[in-house]
Amino acid sequence: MKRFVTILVFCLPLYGVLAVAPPSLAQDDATPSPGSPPLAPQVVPIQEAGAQEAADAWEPSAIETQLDDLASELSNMGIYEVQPLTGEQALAVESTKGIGWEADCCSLGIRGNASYLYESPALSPNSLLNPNNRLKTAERSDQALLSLEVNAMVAPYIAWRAKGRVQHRSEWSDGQIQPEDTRYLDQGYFSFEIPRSWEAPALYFALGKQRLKWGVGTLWNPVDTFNQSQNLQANHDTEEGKVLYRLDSVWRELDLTLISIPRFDHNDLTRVNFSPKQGESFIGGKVHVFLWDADLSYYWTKKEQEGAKQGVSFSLQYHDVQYYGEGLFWHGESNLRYPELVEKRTPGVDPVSGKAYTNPARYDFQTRNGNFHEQTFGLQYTFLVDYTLVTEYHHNQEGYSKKDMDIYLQYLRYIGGKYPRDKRSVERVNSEANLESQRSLLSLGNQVHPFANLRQNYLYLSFLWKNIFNRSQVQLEWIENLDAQYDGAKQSSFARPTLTYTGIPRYEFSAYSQLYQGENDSEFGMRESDQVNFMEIKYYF
Amino acid sequence: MQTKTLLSLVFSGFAFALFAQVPLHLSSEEVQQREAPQETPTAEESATPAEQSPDAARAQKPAQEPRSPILGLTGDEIIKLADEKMVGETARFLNQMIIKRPGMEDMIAKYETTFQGRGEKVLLRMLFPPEEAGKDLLLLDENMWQYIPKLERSMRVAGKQRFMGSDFDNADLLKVSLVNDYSGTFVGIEKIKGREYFFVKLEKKRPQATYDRVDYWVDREKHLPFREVYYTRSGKKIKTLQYLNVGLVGNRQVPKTLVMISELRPNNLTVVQILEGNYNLPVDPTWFTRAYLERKRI
Repeated sequence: MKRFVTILVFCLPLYGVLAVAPPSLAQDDATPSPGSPPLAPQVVPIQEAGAQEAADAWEPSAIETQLDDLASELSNMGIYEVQPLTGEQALAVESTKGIGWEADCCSLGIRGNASYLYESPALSPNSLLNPNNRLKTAERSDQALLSLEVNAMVAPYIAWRAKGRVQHRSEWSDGQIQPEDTRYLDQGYFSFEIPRSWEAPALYFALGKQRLKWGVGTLWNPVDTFNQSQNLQANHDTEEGKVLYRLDSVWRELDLTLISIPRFDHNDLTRVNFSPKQGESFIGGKVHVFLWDADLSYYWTKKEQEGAKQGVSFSLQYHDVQYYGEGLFWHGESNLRYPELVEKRTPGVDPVSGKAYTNPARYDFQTRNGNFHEQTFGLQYTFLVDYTLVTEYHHNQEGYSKKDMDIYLQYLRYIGGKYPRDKRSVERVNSEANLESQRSLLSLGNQVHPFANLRQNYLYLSFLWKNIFNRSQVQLEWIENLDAQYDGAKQSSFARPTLTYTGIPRYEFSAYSQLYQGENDSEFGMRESDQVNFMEIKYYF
Repeated sequence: MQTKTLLSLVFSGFAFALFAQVPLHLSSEEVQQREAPQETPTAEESATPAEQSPDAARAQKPAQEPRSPILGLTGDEIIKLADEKMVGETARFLNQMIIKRPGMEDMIAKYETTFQGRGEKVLLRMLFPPEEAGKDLLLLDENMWQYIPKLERSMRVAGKQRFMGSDFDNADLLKVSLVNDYSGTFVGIEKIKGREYFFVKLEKKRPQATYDRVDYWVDREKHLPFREVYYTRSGKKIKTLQYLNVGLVGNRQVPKTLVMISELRPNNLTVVQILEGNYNLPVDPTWFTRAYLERKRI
């Protein structure tokens, strides 16, 4: 009841803000302002015989003079009269397609960008996920990235596409620099189009390393079972594809996609490895239809030795609001692993020396079997004056319950206690070898599922204000762990403000921060950093 | 407490958005019907005249509906004539957009638009600048999607979102046909710099129409659009679109330059020029699908 009253109280002022503040909303104002024309059109009665008189009586528009001036100005600028597209101008237009070459039989186009990213985390002195900063999180890092995209039509109906990057990253930790140079081929595949008459269904076949993105959600895409890094920290510029076969068919408003991911090792960081290894094979399909102004899709995927996963999604626009949702359902093994206390700490006595000691506790992480489902529902509201508001609710039924979370926190405290601040600790000597394994255990949630999804209910909010001073935009994104509101767990949230400036052609400047809010034993507050700041410059060519 | 406050704010904001808009749109139609029943033709009437003889079309109109002298055209017929001049069964244009802002360097964009079904289906391919290239747009009747290269998938976008920060909205560029969204009332003939123009007042007849009211001028001789002035329901002027520079595009004489002046942002203007184009070209229907938008990246 108290919550309801709170919502009601805040509803009224917000109504005022939304209804009055943006000038665009005058469009929704049913009451004409003083002096404005009435709602019904003003009809000037015209008789056939006296039409010319009526026309002469019609007063010229007030904007006529303004437009005359404008026409002169445009003429002076040389853009009023468009010249035929020949010579250098034609070349200039061609060049807008990227760096490229084109002939009757084939074509080649290259696009890309170069960027520099500076990352500066504000480290927590002693967080649950990094006790006493023992995992030595980087104090800051720089990253230079060159990304290239090649599109080539190698013969009629056969195309080749590749996307790769060269990356140099330096991390500063304890006054030492750790450089890392990597080359990635994110995508590289051939695409074949079956020749046909235009009335027949189109058929395309693609083979090679490709990125596949399914779903309609803004932040969470449960049906996108190929990519598990759906959180705000994901860098979409550096996501890589998987080696797969893909068949697409399009007929009117209906399209069908079939995919097969053979047994390749997709975790191999050399990124181009076609030798069959122990990776799992994967098959799947999607049917999409555009019906009654709505996008409706059905998804089906199956991993080797796992049950099938089925998903549905929809999206539609009604007036200024876009509604969307998607859900995934499966029976079988969970994606997450759940913590369990297998053996408690127990006191013991050494039979030889007679000294007392403590047997360590033992924790285990196991998947569970059962019926699972995951859903996302969202709304996007677009205002006339460059504001966009998105809210998205995500329910992940396989997420940690309050009890699971408590055990997980207990586990984190336990292993955190094993690495005390005192550097002379005996355990520290043996701990270095275990650090890597501890790191993976600590970030278990990240390994199998994005951290933002560790629990069951989340809310995502985004407010975007575009075209500020014509060349900038501001976005504020926020994720709230809703479970903590109700089950007594520590409340925590994640926020990311972003400022982007695009005033210089081909350049994009952005600055953003990732803010983790919450106490040390809350979901977001347990991170190594309370805050991470980023600055990025990107040049497109 | 702060979190709860924010949650409350957001929920209530959407509650407002959901509840506030629907009744207003409904009341608009009620107001339209109540206050101007005779001037608002039915959908059936507005769809028929071009296929029928002028006499037959005239016979279906209410007797008091204003008509142009000589040809005796109604407002709807004038809209349809201008639409047909501008949009063929299919068409393809290469366009250049110049965004002018006071005290700032002009921003130039180039894009290609392909139309099918007299503008019901439109594919816009962004070519320049490089940071915008690939952010293609698709219109299917009232629905719009944009391909986001970074995400490698398409997402729905609203027609009222500004295109690249220009004075054109997405809908201004893609929804070029007016006849489906608006009903017209012929007002009179205006003489501007020696030429005569039909002056038609448009009222939206579908809730999906971008603007509530439009003042529309059409060249009396060539039946080409000359100017559109957009208003909110309350009568506030939002933007003015001026057609200039009539010239040959393909086999048609059409305005090759469009200038949009925003009333909300004084001293801002955006120019769109048709650099190349042609009408009634063969077009693959699968181009106008989301699958094509997401798949065909060459």
